[in-house]
Amino acid sequence: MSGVSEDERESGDPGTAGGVSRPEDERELRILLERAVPRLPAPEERLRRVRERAARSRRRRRAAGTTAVAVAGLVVAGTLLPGFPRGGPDEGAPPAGPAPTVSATDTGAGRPVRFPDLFDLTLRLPPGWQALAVPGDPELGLVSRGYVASQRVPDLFTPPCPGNPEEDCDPVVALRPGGVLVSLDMKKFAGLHTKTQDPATLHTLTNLSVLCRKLTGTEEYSALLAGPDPAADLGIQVSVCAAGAGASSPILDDVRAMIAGAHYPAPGARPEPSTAPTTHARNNGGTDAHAN
Amino acid sequence: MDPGDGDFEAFVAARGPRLLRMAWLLTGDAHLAEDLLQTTLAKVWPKWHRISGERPEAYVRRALVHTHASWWRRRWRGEVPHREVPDAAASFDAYESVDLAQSLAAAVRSLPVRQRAVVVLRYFEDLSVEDTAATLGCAPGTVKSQSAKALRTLRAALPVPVDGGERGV
Repeated sequence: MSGVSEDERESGDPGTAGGVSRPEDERELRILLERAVPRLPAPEERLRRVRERAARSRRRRRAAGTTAVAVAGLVVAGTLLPGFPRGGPDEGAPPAGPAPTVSATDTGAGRPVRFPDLFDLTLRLPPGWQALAVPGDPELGLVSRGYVASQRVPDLFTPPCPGNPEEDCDPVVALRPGGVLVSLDMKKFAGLHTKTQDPATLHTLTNLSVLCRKLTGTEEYSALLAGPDPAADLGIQVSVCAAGAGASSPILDDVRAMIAGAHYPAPGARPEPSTAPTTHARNNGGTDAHAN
Repeated sequence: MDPGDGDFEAFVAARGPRLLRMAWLLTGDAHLAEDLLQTTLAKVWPKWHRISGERPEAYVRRALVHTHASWWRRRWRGEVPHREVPDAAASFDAYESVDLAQSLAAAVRSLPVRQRAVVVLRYFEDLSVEDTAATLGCAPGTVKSQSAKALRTLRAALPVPVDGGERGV
């Protein structure tokens, strides 16, 4: 491949001016790739291993759904029993997801929910909302995700979706009118901590994502939460899909309040027990998710 | 055996070698490449009856690229792209396939994950700009700009032109 000087690269590189590649470079690269990429042998047991992996993946999805349903049942049962913690001094540590929050009788903010695979991010859910943590699996290429929805989550698990394999499979089939689904994804951004705002701001997206359209959403918003380590440039992308809510609707105010109260445990500390998790975490040196 | 399993086996037999090479180019490692391919096939297999009647190759290719991107996000601690491309060997024979493969792997791995995918799809799989954009779920203009950036990086990193010319740095 023909060379290029630093000056050319920095200013007006003729080879790539305006984002256009030179045909001779493209041709050279095609030839080079074809020559250089090795022809690797296929293991004899490849298909058997593929089937085993597929079966493990199916079992994991089923297990995740079953666990979520079971926890939901326990929490519902708990609200009916005397002594069920309702945000008093003995509330204890936030439950790790999957930990749906059912607190229809609460009048204030809902219970805190912790996402262990997302830096132990803790959110205080609006009353009646539910959360779900879907653990990742590097072997299966599954990323960890968190979900918070204004409607029931566990029974909305579906079999693998068609379309983008990355979306196998989001937990809501269709949003109810006025409902929202909040998705939480760990992502790396260059200069993240210079981009985050306090409080985190919901930005309206002009084009709906494929996922939000599948959920019958009508509008979509995003926000960025800084991670707990300012040096890492790792944060959490918050995507909000809403069905006919409107940017100034109370339900989006709930979302804003929820992400404004997002926080992490202090480094090296166990997830904090708390009556008011956000305040308690800050008192213990916990990290606000809206650094800067 | 599930319905369509025979088709799936035939597909893997026919396209497996090429897909494995594609995975190698994405990962730069033979073991990771096989792992990536098996992971992708494990995702695709349960849906084979739905996709086999259409363009299974395009679907699998897309699954491979997206799975790799997912790994990259997941395993970012273990695989941080080099800001600077590692120095190429001073003495380089384009026909020494091992050296060439190693240099190529290092150069491609130095690219950001999206540019890496663009290089694999456009220049190894020989897809059009439009097909590459459809596979990655982005605009054709993005593919063009990512291609140009990737080529600029690779042009500086790979020391010997394939047609035997001199490198003019």
